[in-house]
Amino acid sequence: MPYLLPNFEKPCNCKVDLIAVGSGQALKLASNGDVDMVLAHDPQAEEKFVKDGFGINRKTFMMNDFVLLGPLSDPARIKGTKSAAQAFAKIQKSGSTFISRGDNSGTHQKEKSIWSKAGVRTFGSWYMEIGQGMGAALTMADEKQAYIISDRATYLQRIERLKLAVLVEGDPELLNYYSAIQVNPSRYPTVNATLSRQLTDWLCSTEGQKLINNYQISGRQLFKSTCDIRK
Amino acid sequence: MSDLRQALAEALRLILSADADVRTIVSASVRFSLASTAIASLIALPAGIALSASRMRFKRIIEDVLNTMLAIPTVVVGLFVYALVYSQGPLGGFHMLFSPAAIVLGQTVLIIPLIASLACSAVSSINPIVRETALTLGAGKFRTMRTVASEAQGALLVACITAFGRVIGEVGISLLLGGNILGYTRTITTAVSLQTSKGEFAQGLALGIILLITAFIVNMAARLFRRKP
Repeated sequence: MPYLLPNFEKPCNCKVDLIAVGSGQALKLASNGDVDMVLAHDPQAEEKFVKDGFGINRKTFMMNDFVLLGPLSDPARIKGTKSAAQAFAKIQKSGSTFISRGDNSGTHQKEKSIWSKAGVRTFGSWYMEIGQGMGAALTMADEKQAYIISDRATYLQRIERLKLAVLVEGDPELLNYYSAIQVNPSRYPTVNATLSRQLTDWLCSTEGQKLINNYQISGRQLFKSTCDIRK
Repeated sequence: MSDLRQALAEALRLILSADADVRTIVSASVRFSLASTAIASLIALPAGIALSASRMRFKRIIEDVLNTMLAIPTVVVGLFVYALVYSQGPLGGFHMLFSPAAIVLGQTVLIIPLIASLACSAVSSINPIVRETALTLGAGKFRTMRTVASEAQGALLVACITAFGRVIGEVGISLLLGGNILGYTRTITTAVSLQTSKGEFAQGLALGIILLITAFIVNMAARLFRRKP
């Protein structure tokens, strides 16, 4: 966002105030009408948010993917497993420590959907719900040498400081879609509808999409624009 | 407003239903806070009493430093202890990070200055005649200190209660050093911060109400305990 927003703010001569919170809290703030628009990555919650009349003009504007990380020693032997669900089942079977965000964030929702796909319903003391952000969760997984699911961007930002390896990636189940949604101005007349529409549309403009595709961390593309393939 | 009303209803519901998750986190909060208050008192009460009796040249400066440390943010204490106990730190071999022991250690460090400072001023405010009488009656230095401390026991207990209030209500240390692990290091305050980040504001407020009720019960118990002897 600090990379994208200046390109929007300059031509429109406006200032976007950014509140960085997880998808759960973001949608809550938006459904209280306390913000003008919201970015989130939890498709189910987003659809409900729009259906309940809180949001309009939802644009799924970019995607990246999740990776399944774990200790180099890989006690559950999941390296090379193609399906995330299979890998999760192996982790449960071996009882290896797994760190869960446990905070209703988009990542946590994704993790839960993989557990249910893997048919895992019982969790023991190997499963640690920590109720914190991605950064704190990665730090703890590193310290405890545990398995964890992370979005690729946060993982790459911290790659130097982590003694964890990418063990499973590329499963379509691990894709992560981000949407922008305007808060419904007919529900909350005080929101800035003009600018939030402009920004939502700009994220799907040629310029916005190009910027998203060009964003790199240590020479690697992190996000892919998705406005053409998803409506 | 609806969040506030919901919070009250939710707090009542959680208390009446004796919700298992809530019981675990309340018990964790109380256990960690009592442990750190007890350990810190053992160190800081004698230290504060000794400081008040001492005629050291730097006494005033030490008092100023202690009082300054009352302003230290909990998250800074948390970071300091974190650097001690994480796997690369000097105490890394004990694997204490993200455990109750780490929380108790951090909270103990946090309130030692608080208890010492309050104890020092509590004892200093005792009439000097008490000290002099004890001395003229032939009491030794240690005996005199005990007499003065027992005169000030009410204020010393208040020092401990204040410290308990500070630790049971803090979130920086518990989150950073405990890691908010469900059923292990999750306390009331870290649960509140989790509910907030989930967007469950009413639930968070409800837990805040439960925290205050818990602290109230502990304070009542301390008062009754004092009256007995």
